[in-house]
Amino acid sequence: MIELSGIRKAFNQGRHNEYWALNGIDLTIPSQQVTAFFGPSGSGKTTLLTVVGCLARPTAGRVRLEDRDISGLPERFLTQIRRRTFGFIFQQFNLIRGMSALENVMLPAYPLGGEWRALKQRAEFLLDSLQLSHRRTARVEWLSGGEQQRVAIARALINDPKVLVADEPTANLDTALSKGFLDILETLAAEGRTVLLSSHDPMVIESSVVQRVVKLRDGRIVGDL
Amino acid sequence: MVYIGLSADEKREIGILKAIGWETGDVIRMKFWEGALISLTAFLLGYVAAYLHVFRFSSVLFEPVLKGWSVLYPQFELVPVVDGVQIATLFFFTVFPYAMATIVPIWRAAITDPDSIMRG
Ligand SMILES: Nc1ncnc2c1ncn2[C@@H]1O[C@H](COP(=O)(O)OP(=O)(O)OP(=O)(O)O)[C@@H](O)[C@H]1O
Ligand SMILES: [Mg+2]
Repeated sequence: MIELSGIRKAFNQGRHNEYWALNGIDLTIPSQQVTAFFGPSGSGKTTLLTVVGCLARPTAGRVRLEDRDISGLPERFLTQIRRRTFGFIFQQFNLIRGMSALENVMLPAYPLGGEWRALKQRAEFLLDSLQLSHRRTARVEWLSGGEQQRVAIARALINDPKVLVADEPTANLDTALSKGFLDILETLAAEGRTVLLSSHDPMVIESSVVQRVVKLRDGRIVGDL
Repeated sequence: MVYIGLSADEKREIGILKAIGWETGDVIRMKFWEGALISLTAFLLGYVAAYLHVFRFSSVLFEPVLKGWSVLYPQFELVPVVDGVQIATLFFFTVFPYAMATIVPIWRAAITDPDSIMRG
């Protein structure tokens, strides 16, 4: 369970271009649910995901993860929590060029220092489950958009995170591929993972996989269905 | 901010690694070994080439300079030696500055906030 209370986030605080992207978010996100953040451009969806996913610290307010207050922790601890608890699927996929699909999937596991052979097997298993086995040795820049996204999903899953965070996961996909993503999401939800995503896409928001839609506007919650 | 010595691609790569859970130290270690491997390879290649040149090919390039241009070829052999201190000095002035010149910008890129990668 993730609890946010009084979360505010400022950019360029104290400068002339100070901007409050989040203005007091109180939210409880239960485990094993698919929650979507929905709202106009600039409403704070990405910012909220970075705060929940320990990529950024809130300027004010508390983040509790499984009853542990993590908002005050130093960077190193946040990194450790992040890599054990969260898997990220970025809008631009953010794969590392020049490396193969398989190598990209294995990357988040290296700092954990497990056995290389076991790790490789796990990565191959994940790519296989996403129908990408045949492309595992291809360099990622040669892959199609849909293939790149599946590599990004496999990479997000390599450390077996409880929570998956996906920012605008269908923004770079056509209708058929978006449908494919929703099918994968269905499987992940059935595995009992908590999924947090942001989207403009009605196809995602109205999908039966999404159990809860939180509406944002100007850094505030304006609807919770 | 300006990072001397890192390409946009490298900065992006570092941002990605941080976002997927690498610590600043993990990134620097990896980049350090990468850089050390490159400069060490260059150093060793240079060393081996110089060694071969002197010991195997009797220093064909430098021999005339060392022995002089005398038409009457003097009858002496040049005895090649490997000077440990010189090698260490060379190492210090090639590998070490290279490592420093790469580590500092990497460190500066590696301490940036991992959330920047969410906004490619
Ligand atoms: N690093 C930053 N510096 C200054 N302002 C920022 C920064 N990051 C985000 N903002 C501002 O914060 C606000 C919220 O941004 P955010 O990216 O969270 O919106 P969003 O809901 O994800 O929008 P979109 O749908 O376009 O992705 C925006 O007005 C944005 O310009
Ligand atoms: Mg966004």
